Amino acid sequence: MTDISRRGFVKGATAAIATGVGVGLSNGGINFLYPKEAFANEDSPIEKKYSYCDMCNHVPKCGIIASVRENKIVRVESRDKYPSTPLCAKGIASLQELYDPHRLTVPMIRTNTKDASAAEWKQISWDEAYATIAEKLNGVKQRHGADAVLFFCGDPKEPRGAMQRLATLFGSSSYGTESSVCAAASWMCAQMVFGQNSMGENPSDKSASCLVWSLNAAWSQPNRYGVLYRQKERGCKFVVVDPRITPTVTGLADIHLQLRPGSDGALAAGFINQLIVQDLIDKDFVETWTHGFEELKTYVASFTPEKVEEITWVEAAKLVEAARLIGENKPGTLLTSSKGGCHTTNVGHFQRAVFMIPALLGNLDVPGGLPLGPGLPFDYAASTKAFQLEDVYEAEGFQQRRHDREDFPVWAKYYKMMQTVKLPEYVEQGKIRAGVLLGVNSMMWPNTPLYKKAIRDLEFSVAIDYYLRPVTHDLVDMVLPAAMCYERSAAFAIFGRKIFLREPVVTPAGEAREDWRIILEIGTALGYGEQCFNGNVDAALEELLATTRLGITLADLRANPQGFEVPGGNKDPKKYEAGGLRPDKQPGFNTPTGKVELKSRVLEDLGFEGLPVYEEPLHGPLSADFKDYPLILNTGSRLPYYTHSKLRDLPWLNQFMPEPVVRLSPQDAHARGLNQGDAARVFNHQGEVTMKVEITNMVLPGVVDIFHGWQQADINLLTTRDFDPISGFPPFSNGLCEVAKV
Amino acid sequence: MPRKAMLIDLRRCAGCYACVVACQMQNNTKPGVVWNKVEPCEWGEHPQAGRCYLPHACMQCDEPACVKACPTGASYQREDGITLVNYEKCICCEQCAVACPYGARHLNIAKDYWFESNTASPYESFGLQRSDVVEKCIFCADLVDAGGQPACVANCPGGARSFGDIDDAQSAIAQAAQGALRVDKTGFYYIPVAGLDEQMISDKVLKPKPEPVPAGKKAEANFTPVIAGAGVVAAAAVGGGVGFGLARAKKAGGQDAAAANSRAAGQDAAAPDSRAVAAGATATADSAAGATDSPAADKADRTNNNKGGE
Repeated sequence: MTDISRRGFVKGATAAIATGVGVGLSNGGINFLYPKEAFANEDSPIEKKYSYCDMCNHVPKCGIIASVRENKIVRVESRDKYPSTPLCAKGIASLQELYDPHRLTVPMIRTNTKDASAAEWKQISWDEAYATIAEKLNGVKQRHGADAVLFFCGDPKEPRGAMQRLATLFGSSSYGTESSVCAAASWMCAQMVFGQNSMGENPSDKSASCLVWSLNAAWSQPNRYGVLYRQKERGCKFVVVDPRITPTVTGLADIHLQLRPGSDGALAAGFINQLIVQDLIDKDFVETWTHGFEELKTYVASFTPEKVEEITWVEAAKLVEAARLIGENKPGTLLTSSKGGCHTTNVGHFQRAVFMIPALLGNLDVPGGLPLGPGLPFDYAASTKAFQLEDVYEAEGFQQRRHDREDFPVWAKYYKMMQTVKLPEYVEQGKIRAGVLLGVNSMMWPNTPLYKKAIRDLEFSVAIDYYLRPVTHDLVDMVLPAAMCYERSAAFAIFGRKIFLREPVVTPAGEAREDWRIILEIGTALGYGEQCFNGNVDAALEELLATTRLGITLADLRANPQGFEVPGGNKDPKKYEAGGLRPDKQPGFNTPTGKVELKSRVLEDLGFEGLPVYEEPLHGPLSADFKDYPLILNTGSRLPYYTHSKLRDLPWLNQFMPEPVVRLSPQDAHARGLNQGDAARVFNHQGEVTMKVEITNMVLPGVVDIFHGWQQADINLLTTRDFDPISGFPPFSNGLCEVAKV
Repeated sequence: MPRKAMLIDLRRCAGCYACVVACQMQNNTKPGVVWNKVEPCEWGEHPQAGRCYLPHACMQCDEPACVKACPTGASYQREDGITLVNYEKCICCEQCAVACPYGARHLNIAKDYWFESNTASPYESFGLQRSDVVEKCIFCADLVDAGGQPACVANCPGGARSFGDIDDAQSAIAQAAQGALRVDKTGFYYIPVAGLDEQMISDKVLKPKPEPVPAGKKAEANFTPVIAGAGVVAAAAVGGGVGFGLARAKKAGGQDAAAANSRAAGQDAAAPDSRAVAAGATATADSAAGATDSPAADKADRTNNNKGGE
């Protein structure tokens, strides 16, 4: 340890001022000292390098400038002239994560059996690791077929393209991601309504209004909140639907519809009914471009403001006023989310109703409305269908072999990734017997113990991660160390038509390797060396770019560190009129009827109700267990300093919530004799956890709000496996529980 | 004369804590030391319940009590209003911390680095090293002098913070501060959200946190209160409308930045009572002088027994 004498402040003033990141002299008051052993040469130059952040991993990919001295990062700054900036607390703390002494930095194999309560590990070489993986996976494939090997990509999401390619090369239809419990339910609902993935769009300078349905941008992406607030200042009107009083509500909402979690479908039906009753819909658009309007009109007619108030707890007058505000201020846009819009038993219906609102108002693909149309040919993870070999998937009949096909046929229609929520059943039935599990966490599913058992019961599994996490890694056979954000390149960051390439800023810690490289090297060990570029990530990215047919190469991206703008693109409004939205270039939308489907043909063909019908949660105020567990359990929302179960270890972040917290309204807390900071049991028929009480106005009386991912208090012990039959999503937002003092 | 000041538009505050972490990295603060705090504020009951976040740090007083209390001259004020600490002169006697009405002074006696490590990470090895000192927000004077913005301002995702010369009528902060509330006789300004009143701001920024008081009563601060006098520029500009340590900024009323401001200010305008804060007149010479002969032993004792900062 350096013995710092504060009498010895002497060095570095000039260098620090020159870089603008150190501490300079101020009227003779501040001095300097650098510990002797920190750098070989304390005067060695500081280089500024670009990167983008992976702390959230819901793809804001916020821009970073790293100040690097001797292959070490000494400061990070927000990147100017970049689409997503400035950094949030997590982005800055990426520096602390990089130098966390508890990082996993070597490959390890388990030395004791999985019956033992805790795993014991020994270090192995990468070559040994790959040889073992190849032997085990090929063995399972030989005995049980390729589909028995699960290729899973959790967090980070960035290596999805490589993982899906590997799964297909191996011949397995069992490629899964954490999107089977996050975001993708919303995307598929947008697909069903107007034929395109969407999570809504920020208002532009031409937007007169914005309907925010359960998105707390202030905490899921704080710089996005800044963008929205600027629109508010410009004059855009906001209606925010959220069970909580979030900073987004406080800052933006002209009207806040504070609904009971899980009742979104009734609110959406009531909203649509008000648009019709108040004569606010775009009749020309509805007549020409929608399918099923009369039936929808009939269905929602019973959702009067009074009935909606009874179901949702939203004051009738507010609903009337909110519909008027959005309906009268056109064009308007819509924002929904990967969480609030997804985690109820009714999501496959209600989220469609939400996407119908901009359609009914004629706000689709008009300036200031919700833009549509194909962008660059990249997917959510900056990969392409061709790179992922989706042509092989189709040609070789993977779709027919999928384990999830009968459980979730709608999901299976839209995604070439399996719905993973029935993993326990697939393992129990012997359908899945081994796994390559990147960034997996057993706490991400409802009723965690079942998933823990499923992972433990795999004949062989290898995890790839930043840390050794006993909660899941105690259940696997091998763990490989992944390089962090600053140590790797793939995948690209794509904003509109602009592509950014990330180059490694420093070399990886210990023996850690970039996750893309690990996946490609596993593929190489499995016998797909050529198709996996023998582990060369640059070569893989070059191929990925080639599959876009945009005629761009890595050299083009390297020559444009401020982003490569791909020329072209169709910015015409109302592209549905001219054939700009369908692959066959015909006018209309990319749905079976060619119209905006207010009644889904896809759902009807698969035996589901086509209208966006409201159904009560299985566990809710109307269910029998409500008398025993009278509080609505709302879990899974975002915090500005953690991402799911990640980042709990970083002191810069865990200072804000060092322990698990249950948030209650003052009314509910007082009724239970609970005081601020008390330890409380949170329990229901399925499980129990202990948490610290936070009494706050944030939550609606009758509801508790709990952040997920605490190993010592996993709230998914209480969440149930009542999956939405359309998407397969679990009801993280609408369970039941009771809270009592310990 | 330029007067450096900070304005926080609470409507834009995302409650994201980026400013806290940005500050800790930039200023190389030791484990447990937090110069820049963000606290939730809540009011009302459902369905009229409200809440927001209130960031606060050293208020950069016009007449800093900490400077008067400092027996060695370590704490000093620059001509632009920023109060700094010369760590070489600091004897860690904590008289400044006692004197500060805002709890903005932090004792740094940390010996370990983050993660309870005895080795400095690269980011901890870079920048100013110090221990056994009392420290506080310095408006990132080093960055400001180099033409930059304080770290919390540059890293505010919501764009809630403005920084600059409040005395320059053309400056962005002076423009933005129209109608804002000024923490009396300091370089700190707030634009509150609707529903947040001055009492609540005072409760949060003053130390220690007052106990909850029955409805109808107002909390008493635990230091000698001083009536905001005629010398208070901001108060004079609005005809003496001084609330609990808060004064309307210059040109108040010229532009109504927040409807709630008017309401909140109006409630207290007639009561420029004894609860206005004028930091700088509260510390006593006795307490400052009396501490000068003991800090070394005191410091050694703490060093042996404590790991964290404050």
